[in-house]
Amino acid sequence: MRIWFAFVSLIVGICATSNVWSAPITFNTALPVGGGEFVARELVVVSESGKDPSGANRDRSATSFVSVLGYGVTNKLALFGVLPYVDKDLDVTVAGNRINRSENGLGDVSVFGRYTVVQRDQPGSTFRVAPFFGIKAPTGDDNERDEFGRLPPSVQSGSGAWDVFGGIVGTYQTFAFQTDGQVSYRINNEANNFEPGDEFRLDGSLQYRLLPRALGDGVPSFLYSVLETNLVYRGKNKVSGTDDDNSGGTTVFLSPGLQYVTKRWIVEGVVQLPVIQNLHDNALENDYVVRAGVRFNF
Amino acid sequence: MKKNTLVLISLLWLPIVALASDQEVVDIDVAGLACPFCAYSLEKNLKKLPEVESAEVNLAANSARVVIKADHEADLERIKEAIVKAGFTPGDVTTSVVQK
Repeated sequence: MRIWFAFVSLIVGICATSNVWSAPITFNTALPVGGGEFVARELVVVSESGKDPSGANRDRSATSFVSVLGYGVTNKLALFGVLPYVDKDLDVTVAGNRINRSENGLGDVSVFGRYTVVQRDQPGSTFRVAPFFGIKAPTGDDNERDEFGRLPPSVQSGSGAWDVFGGIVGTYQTFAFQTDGQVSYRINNEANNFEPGDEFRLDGSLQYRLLPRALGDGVPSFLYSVLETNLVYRGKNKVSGTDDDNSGGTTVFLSPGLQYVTKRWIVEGVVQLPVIQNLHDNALENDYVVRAGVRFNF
Repeated sequence: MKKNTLVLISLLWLPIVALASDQEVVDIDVAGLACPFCAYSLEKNLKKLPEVESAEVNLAANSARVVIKADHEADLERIKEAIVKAGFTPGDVTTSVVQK
């Protein structure tokens, strides 16, 4: 594990000190949405968790189709809406029998606002800082059942609760590279006697321009290599007000990817690999997360 | 005969010369613009201005070229406002006149 950590530190260190690197794939950016302009993003997120220290041999997979619409109210203020469609699947061994629990449908809708508080523009570069704040509404089903009874919260398509989240994101962008950093916190609330642990995240992203090697006239398309890191700390879940000791903990992802950026659209993909998983007791470990999608200007 | 041919050729060019008109071109520096995706928003905001015929960003030159419609005048303040609205910072401006 220490070797992985050293590798991550080395890569981040090399990239941060290089003089040559569009937006992060796993989190937000402080780059502007023009006043009166719309941007849209369609994202597929595939998550697999199958390392189960509990002996129940749990194997959880989830595929989300996430639609995001952003609108620039002014040059500083942008509003975003996030609508996920989720397909969740859990295989678990109970009393020697292998059973499958699954659910799909619209998930919980989130809306958030982002306001640029720092904007330092230079020819060919920009530095911006923008705090953001949002809410998640319980629009997804949270009381679905199957032949075995009520589905566990991890398989429901919605949480049933109103949650709030906020943070601050910073971006430094040049023609050759872009780096972004974000700190965020999500307060998860209780519904149906279940309260997921709050979530703290620390994210970093470096995007380095691979092509074109030299800029020509006009607006050429860019191919970026992407390297992101995500530190995610989740508190313990609460069941009927009591801490679930087999939940929560810290995960660090290292996420390499590619991004192709044109004037009208972006196509991108990244694989999030858990390089550190310091989870509580028998909490289910993550295998990987794949994110791929497109963004549009219209 | 040679003189008549020259007169005839000159007359053939007359309608083309009569259609030619002057157009104002504004080249303006833009700071804070460093990726292709951002350039589209800037071009779109500039093209929304009623006097603008076309707008093109040159990323490497950190500038935008705005071509004004033949029978209109450039409103530099409005062009700068459009750049700010798109999320960027306007800089030095150079104007020139070209024949369409």
